[in-house]
Amino acid sequence: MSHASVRTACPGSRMRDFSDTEAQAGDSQGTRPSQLCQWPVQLYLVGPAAPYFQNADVLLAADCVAYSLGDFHKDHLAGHSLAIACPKLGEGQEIYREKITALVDEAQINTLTVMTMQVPCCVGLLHLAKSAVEQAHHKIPIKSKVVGIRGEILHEEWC
Amino acid sequence: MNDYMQTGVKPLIEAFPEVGQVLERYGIACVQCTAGTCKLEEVLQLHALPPQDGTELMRQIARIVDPTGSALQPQAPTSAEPPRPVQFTYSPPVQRLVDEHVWIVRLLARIPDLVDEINTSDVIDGDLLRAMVDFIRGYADRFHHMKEEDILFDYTDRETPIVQVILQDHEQARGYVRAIVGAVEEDDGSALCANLVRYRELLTEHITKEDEILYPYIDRALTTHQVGEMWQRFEGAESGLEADVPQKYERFITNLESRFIQ
Repeated sequence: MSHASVRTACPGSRMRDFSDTEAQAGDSQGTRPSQLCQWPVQLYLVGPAAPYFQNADVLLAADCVAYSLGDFHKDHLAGHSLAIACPKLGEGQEIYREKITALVDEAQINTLTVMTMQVPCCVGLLHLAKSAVEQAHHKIPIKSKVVGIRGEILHEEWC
Repeated sequence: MNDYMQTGVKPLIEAFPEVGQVLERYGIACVQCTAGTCKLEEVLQLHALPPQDGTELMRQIARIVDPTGSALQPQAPTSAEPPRPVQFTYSPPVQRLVDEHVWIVRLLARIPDLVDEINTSDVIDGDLLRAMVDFIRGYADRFHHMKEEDILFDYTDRETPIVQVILQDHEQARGYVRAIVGAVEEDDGSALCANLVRYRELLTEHITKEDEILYPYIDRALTTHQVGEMWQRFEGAESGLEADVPQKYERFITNLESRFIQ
């Protein structure tokens, strides 16, 4: 890899290998049921008229989030309706924005929690969500949770 | 040994004044509190110190209350709530209440100017004072305290000492406002100034208690769903008020400041 290519590489795509580190301690006994209560989950496919979005607490998660967090279902998905999207690779960002606005105004969702990865390009999903809610007539609280690539919650706050 | 955890913090400070100094070092102002009905255990829960700070504070209090150390070391009360983050951020509906305090504080800041004007000119500007009372009743009480009393307190135990203190403050403030109105009607400058000063002192301490203790205490226990629900209830409550609220009251404060600030 040339020096120039290192400097210009996207931090979100930079290769990192942590397979040689010890697995983090945790309770791996038993099985945990899925907390997913709906289908589909892709933001591109979900419909704001779906009954599971009406007055719901909605979790909008970047695609990579659920793979990073060991207990995504138990600690974050439980009690929420879900939509997932990728702000970097997903096409049709304007469709995403319109869909979130429709979730706010038509489904009258109660709250929107946006979970993103720590990589810089992922913050675009939070910006997209905020602008969509600003465009909506109805106003709701938005919470941001930022997930580290090692599966830790780095930051959590109401916006 | 842990009996004093169940003791009212005021009697404890009266018996051991150094306990008040220890609490102050941790930013807990029980010495200045006008009510002081909380038990020591409740004080520690309300302030949600980080575990190591709570343990150290308990150790210092134990050395004062039980210098021989003959009994068991006291344990700081455990809480189901997470420890307070280094920088606390309010949830959106609670932040709304904090932002409303800013307008009330701006009114309180001008009361000394008003009192000076009354004392030096010996003239009571009835129109200005009636507008001020309208702000207090329409904004501080109806717009702001209404959301606290009718909505926010539904998300905590209303019998908690801190909530009781806040409700008593609201009633006491309403009493001062009635006295202000009476003094204006009777053209009694002395009573007017005295009650304006009392109102300012009460509300200044009251707002600090809410911003620093009560609101974080309630906010930490809220679920995400409750935050959204409270937000919508605030929206509903405000939609029932006149269309120009709160803008007309914010304009009043801006005009009041331009009168006194050169």
